[in-house]
Amino acid sequence: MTNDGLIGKLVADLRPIRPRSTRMELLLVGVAGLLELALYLAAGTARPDMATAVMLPSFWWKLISLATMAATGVIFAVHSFDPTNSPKERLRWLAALAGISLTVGWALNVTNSTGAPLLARLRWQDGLACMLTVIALSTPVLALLTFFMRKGAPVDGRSSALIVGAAGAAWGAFVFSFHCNHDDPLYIAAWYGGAVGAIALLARALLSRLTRW
Amino acid sequence: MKDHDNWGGLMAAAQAGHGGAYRRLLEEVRHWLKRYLSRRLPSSLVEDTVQEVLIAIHEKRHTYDPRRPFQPWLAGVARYKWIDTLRRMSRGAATVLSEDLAVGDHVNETMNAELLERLMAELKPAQADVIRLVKIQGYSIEEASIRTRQSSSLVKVNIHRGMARLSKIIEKQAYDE
Repeated sequence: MTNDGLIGKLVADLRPIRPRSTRMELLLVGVAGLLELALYLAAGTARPDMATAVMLPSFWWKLISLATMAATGVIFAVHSFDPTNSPKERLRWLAALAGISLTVGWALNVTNSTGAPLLARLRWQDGLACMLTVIALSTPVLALLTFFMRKGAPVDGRSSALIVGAAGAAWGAFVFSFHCNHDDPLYIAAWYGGAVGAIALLARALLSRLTRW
Repeated sequence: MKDHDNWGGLMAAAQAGHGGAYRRLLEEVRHWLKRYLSRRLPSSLVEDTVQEVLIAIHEKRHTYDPRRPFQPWLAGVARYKWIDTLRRMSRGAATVLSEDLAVGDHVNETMNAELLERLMAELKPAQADVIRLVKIQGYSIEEASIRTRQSSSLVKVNIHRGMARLSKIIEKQAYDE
């Protein structure tokens, strides 16, 4: 087809459209995430020892780290769906944030260490269950971000997908942290971190293909 | 990059469904794209890629924010499609690993000599040598094998890996620009 022919076809196909709004997308992801949290808590899943947990610095570390990662990740992800934005720099910021969170966790671990053996503290059976639940709980935010990524025009699909995966998983882990009664920083770093890393890598492998344009 | 403020206005009108504005925008943009892509691709691929960018502009026009300049948006879309074409070229180079893979390649059309030498410096010497011989100077795999004392299979593997690496370097440089 000639360029003139193509332009004629594109003009004939023109329909009014509403320009993409990053604010609206952020709002929708925020509402979906909060709705999920509300439904999860309404189902009576909150940990029974919440009153004591709120006294623990590691509980707040877990909650604040995951909320910050999730919120930052969602903002970075949605902005990366614009063709004028390269997500590489933002990805580095997100990695730095994860590094800071783990460092704070390590400091808490050192100051509050019980002296128990590392393997016993990891409690792998609980850990695997936690990982699977985090993966399940990350689905709504992950699905919505994937939808917006497909609709948008990300120019670096692999980096955007990595951010989407990390953001969705961090949100899933945040929701789950209201239920999970493990506050040991080593456990959180290993299993929550493992879930976030696994979902981010899976998203990088799958979403970057699904969202090509 | 020359400022084309009016393009933003035309796209905003197109988003509202104004066909005349859209036609004018696409016709003007087409010339810009041709210049942009001619500097980056073999001439045989320019027209096809221009059309791919025009289709991408159409399909992704809702991602343009009328409050912002149009040129960076257009450049983002054009660069994405340019890289897409480079990837396909690289895949093509990887699949044609037959004995007569040599000759007739477009590498020398794509990049100027200085840029090519700079890129070649990023490769392992064994990869750069066989790419120079086979893809640029037109030697056959066997001739390159004798000259470099690499087996024929190794020559093919080194061309394949070297081309893939070149493609990644170009892609990275494009994103970092």
